[in-house]
Amino acid sequence: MSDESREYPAVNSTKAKTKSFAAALNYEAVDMRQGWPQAARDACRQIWDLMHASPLENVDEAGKEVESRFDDLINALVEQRDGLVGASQLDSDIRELQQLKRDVLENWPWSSLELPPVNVEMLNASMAAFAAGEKGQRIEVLIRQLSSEIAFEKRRTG
Amino acid sequence: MPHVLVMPLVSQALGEILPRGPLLTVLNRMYDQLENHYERYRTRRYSARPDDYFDYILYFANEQGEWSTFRFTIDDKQAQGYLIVAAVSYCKGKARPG
Repeated sequence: MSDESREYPAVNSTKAKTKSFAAALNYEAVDMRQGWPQAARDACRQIWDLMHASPLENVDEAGKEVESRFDDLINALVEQRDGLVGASQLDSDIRELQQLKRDVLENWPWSSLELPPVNVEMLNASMAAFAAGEKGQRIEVLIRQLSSEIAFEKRRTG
Repeated sequence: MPHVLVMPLVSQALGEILPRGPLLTVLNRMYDQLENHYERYRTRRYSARPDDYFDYILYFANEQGEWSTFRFTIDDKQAQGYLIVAAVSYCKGKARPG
């Protein structure tokens, strides 16, 4: 297990999810050719649900895993198509999977991409306020307040 | 273990970007990571003012599967034992290649 995995439980969860994604996109699924595009979409949905549940400091490994599994499946489909007569259905399947891969990975936030610029105006204003006596709020206090608001809202709306 | 202080401009900006549920998720992640794993993140210094600030980056997917990138600028020199979250910048969707 990597250092990162030991320290970030969510990374382990991400790996588990990407493994289930891989399971959904294995060769047997291709061989059956029954509902695999939907299975692939469902697997993607699971990954998004996990990412939504837990923000992460780095998602490169998960992205590479997803990319690799898409490539494996597309290659398997291409091989199968080329070995069959009258396998035109596979063409549309392959195109659909290629499009799904583009959709998933197009906006993936690889760590090699440029970060948003530092908000210098906010930075200077915050530090000026700190120097003037504004000490901010402990993050755990913010969390408690927000949790209370959410719980109140849930009770109110039933 | 350092304590994390969030400046009002930051909490205000986050409140304008995120609904309450996702905001709680982001704050909980920051709380856990910065208080327990500060040493891991402090080495990523803000290049314009490396003596004072480090960058803490979070990637977050919304329910529609759209990514957001948050860049927090955090002071770890002003007050011993405290991390002051002084600024946040944010981009949604595709970022430009670096």
